[in-house]
Amino acid sequence: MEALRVEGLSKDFGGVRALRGVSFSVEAGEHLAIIGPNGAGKTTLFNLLSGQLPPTAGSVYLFGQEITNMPAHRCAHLGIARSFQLTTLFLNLTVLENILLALQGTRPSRFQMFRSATAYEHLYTKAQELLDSMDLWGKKDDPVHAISYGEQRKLEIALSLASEPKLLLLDEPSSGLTTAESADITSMIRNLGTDITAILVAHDMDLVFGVAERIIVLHYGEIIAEGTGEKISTDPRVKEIYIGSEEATGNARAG
Amino acid sequence: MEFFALNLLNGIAFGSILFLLASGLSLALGVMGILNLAHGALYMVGGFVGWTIAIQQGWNFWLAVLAGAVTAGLLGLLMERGFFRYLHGRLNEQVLLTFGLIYILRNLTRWIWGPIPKAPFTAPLLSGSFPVGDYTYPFSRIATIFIGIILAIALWWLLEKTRIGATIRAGMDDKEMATGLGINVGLVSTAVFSLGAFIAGGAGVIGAHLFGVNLDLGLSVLLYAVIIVVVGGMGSIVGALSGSMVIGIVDSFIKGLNPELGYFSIYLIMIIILLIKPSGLLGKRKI
Amino acid sequence: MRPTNLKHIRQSPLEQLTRFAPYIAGGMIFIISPFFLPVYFHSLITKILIFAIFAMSLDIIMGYTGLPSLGHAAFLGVAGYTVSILLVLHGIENFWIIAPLGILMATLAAAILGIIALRVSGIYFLLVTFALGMLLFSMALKWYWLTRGSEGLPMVAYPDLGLPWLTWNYTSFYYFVFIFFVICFFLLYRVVNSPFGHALQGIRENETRMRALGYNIWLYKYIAFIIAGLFAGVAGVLFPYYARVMMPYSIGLTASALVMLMCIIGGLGTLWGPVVGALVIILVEYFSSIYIPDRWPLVLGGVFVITVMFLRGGIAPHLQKLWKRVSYGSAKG
Repeated sequence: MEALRVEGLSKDFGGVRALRGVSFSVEAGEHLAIIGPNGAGKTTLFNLLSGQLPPTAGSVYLFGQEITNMPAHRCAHLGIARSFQLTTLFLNLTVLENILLALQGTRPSRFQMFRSATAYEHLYTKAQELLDSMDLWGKKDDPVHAISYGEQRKLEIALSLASEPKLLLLDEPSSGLTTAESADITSMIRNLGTDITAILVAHDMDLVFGVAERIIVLHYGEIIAEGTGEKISTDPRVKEIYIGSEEATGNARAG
Repeated sequence: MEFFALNLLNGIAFGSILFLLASGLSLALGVMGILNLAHGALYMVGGFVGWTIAIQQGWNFWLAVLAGAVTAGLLGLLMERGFFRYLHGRLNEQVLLTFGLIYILRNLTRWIWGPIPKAPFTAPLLSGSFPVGDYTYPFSRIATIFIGIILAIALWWLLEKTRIGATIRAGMDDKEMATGLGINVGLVSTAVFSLGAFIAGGAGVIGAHLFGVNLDLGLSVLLYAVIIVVVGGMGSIVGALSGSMVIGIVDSFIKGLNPELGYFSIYLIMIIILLIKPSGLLGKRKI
Repeated sequence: MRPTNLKHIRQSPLEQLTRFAPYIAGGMIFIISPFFLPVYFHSLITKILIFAIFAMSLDIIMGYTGLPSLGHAAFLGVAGYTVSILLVLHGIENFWIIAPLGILMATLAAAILGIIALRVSGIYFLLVTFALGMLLFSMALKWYWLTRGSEGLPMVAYPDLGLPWLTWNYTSFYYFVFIFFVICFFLLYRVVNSPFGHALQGIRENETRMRALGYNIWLYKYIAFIIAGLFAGVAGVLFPYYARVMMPYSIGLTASALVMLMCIIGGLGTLWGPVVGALVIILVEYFSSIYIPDRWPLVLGGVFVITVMFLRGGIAPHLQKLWKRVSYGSAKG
């Protein structure tokens, strides 16, 4: 079953064409990585898929349903969740408050005005599960601006998992993390299994090759290559656009 | 036909004064993110100072314009150095502070010049009028239009074509970056703010033939400036100009047709623009 | 999997008492203060409570949702004028009829103005609410047939509750207002501590994140705006009975700026902070008008400058820190 289908997606910003006619599809349960140099349009693509921005042309289908111009909050309810490249957390609220807001987002209780938020005990249970899996429960009462960057990145991912999404978009999940922390993220994504369809944008090739079954390479807003890790790492066009492509292929053989 | 021509001219003259007003507010907002509610009060002070020079002393009108502008510019300088540099990014505090300043300036002005409004005045040279069909049209309003055009061109040229202008625009876009490039952002802020105040003060004298000079100008002028910024967008001269002209012209026509409705016409314009095109006339709003 | 540690949300009776004690203490002070104050003061503390309700209503949008509004007096004014017009110009005296109507009108006004104002955000929102506030002010001033313009509408009676045994004076009116204050505080307290209230704070902190999490930002802001208008309306239906006259001045920029000042000095986003702010400002206004009548705005300005320079975030956070130190001390000692 097709989880996501993108047809001819384009996005213009004033005179700048960030994406040109991008088309691809993702099978349910698949783990796909999108790579490409800076400015290739990867984050723009995510913004279009998750409804943050409307496309200039093209269409997007989620499990067969058209979601092309749907606003971000509707997309969330249809099962899309994303993490952001630049940490987008509630810095002045505590870790626990962050995750509770995330859990509430797709539940009808979010409009409840008269019952105290603390009455929803099952949400606290879920919050503990999520934070435990990231080793963040101990810091639950700390304001987010006070925890380390690595912990913030993990919280970022935890927030995106809170809604139990069907399609998970992870934008540079391991950027700024130590090797050990990145390895954590890698195994965490692998353990998501086939329940969740995941698309990953990353520069960290260890992560990409460790997680992705298929890779799409984006350059100047266009797809220039698509295929398995092996195929991509030997593609001459890909090597060309990556300075230091020697290292990329070196990693692929070692890992 | 005459009705159309007269109201159009009136509208453009009105719009020109509005532009003189709004450009200062728009620049301060756009360049420094500073909301100065006392902007209208600066206009008022300028007008009173100009009156003193031109009418009470009987001196040259253009000297009066300069005097009004300089007074307001100095006040603006004091405001920026004294208060605003401490309130960057704190919108609520800026609102309350400048609201307080309206009050203080109004009281000071009343104390110095008394509570009685001054009659509209202009340069002796411009006192006459010329015929338009069956009507006559005052020279002073034509002059206002010219002054508005000259200022618009001057400001546009300053911002778009000079190095100083590029510096200002850089500070507008990204303060940190600008500082990193060695631009003294604080100095730029003070200069732009004082310039805006200077223009407002001069406008107070130039616009005296239309509005007169009275103590309530602080608030009424501010209202116009705010609506122009909402309609035309902030930080751009073209935005301020288009907003001013649209409001000036539409307002004149509606007032010409129905004075009662005319009182509320600026609000109507703002509401319509917000409902139809919230990004402003030129769509340049960074919401 | 560890069993859920819910200890932190299920608070012990002692913890709950510590949390509610300040509110109960504050309430007690308000209840017994008329006994310690001369009668002519009762009118002043009534004013404090009315503005406390007004300030709390603004806190919902400014403090909790992060929407700075400079036209909030419009809603107090709409409610106040509705009551005054019905009473003075049409002779409808029954409080139970005109007050709900007043609150309804204020809520409607918020529903209409909210649609316009929420087309933009941030500084533009502030500018638009300012303009809309001035629009209503102009209407109050110009439409003599409706509002008697700058003459105002003189209210010569206390609320007609249809209770023959009730004698109205400064004191009984004070307790009447106090009941409204308690109800409003209680309701608003529930709202800000509910999931809805938490969502508002999330919107204030990071809109993009909230959207991505599934919240319809615009809808939340709109509902918050209407709630704020509704409670401003409650203050508005009480105000004319206190002030004895309904004038355009009460609906103008000064009123909107004053309530904003109360919220900021008191502490945004705390609900009780604006109550403290109202208290401080009205007392400052009162005492300086006695001792230095022409200069009281300067005193107010002074208070404001002190708050901005030394009490970042207003009085409330500092009082909160003080209370935490005191209560932890007694809990452990």
